[in-house]
Amino acid sequence: MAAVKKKKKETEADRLSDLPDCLLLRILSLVDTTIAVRTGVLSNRWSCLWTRLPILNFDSQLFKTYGAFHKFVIRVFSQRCGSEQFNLVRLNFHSKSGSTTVVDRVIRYAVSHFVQEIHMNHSCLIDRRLISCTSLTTLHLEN
Amino acid sequence: MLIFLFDRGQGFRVRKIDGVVDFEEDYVAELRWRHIRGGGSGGGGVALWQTIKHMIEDGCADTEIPLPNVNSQTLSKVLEYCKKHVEAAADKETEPEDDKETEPEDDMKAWDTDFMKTVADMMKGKSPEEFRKTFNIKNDYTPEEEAEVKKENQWAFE
Repeated sequence: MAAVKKKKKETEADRLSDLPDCLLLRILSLVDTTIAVRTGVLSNRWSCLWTRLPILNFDSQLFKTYGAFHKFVIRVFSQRCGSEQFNLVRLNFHSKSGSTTVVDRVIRYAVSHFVQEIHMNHSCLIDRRLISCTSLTTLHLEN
Repeated sequence: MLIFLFDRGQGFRVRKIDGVVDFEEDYVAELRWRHIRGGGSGGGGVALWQTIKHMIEDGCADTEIPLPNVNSQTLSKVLEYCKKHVEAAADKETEPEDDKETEPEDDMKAWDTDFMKTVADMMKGKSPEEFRKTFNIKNDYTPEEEAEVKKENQWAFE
């Protein structure tokens, strides 16, 4: 009887949620940010993890409209944890069409939050603010 | 290595291939488990490994040890690592001890990266509910909280 109970308990073990924050954040940094944000509905453990992501991956192709993509990017930035301990390290930005409004917002955020690496496919990116951004160590542009 | 992993359709089993198991080498597996469980001692993974050890030592697992509900990828990684370690240990008997400290460190980093990539790949293309099912993630929200959280997160699903 006890063995059955124990077995049941083991079957229910939530090993992933038991991992420390730093490992879960690294896992969430490997997927698109939409997926990372959606994990917030899983449990209390996951509810705010995404607000501390060290890496953000934005891809406009995953959105029906560019407006929706724009709204998503803004929302992620505005809800991020403000603590310096959880600064954004790397930003991957993939956008099909060229809305300068979103790009401008992304650059502003990156520069003001001391981002170290930016990977973008956006051609009109070379911006004065990025050139003078002291925290930036890598700027990768694809066209 | 004297243990072997195979799938029986319902979880995974460790099998003793040979009559002798050298536990001196198995501490690496314990370390790995502890690592998976988040750094604390006495985590479930370590306990699981201890259980396997005791079952073999007590002779109550002459052929197979059932391991229901062990994440297949995790366990295969552990066993893969054991195998590697035993091979490395055999090689090292004749080598100087210089690189003993750096090698496992690098290996651990590579293992971590590999582990995280595997989990991330398993997340891709899944809804949170599918992801919850895959990893057995417990929902500790009350129905009211859950409704509220879903409402708050709606913007990420549009």
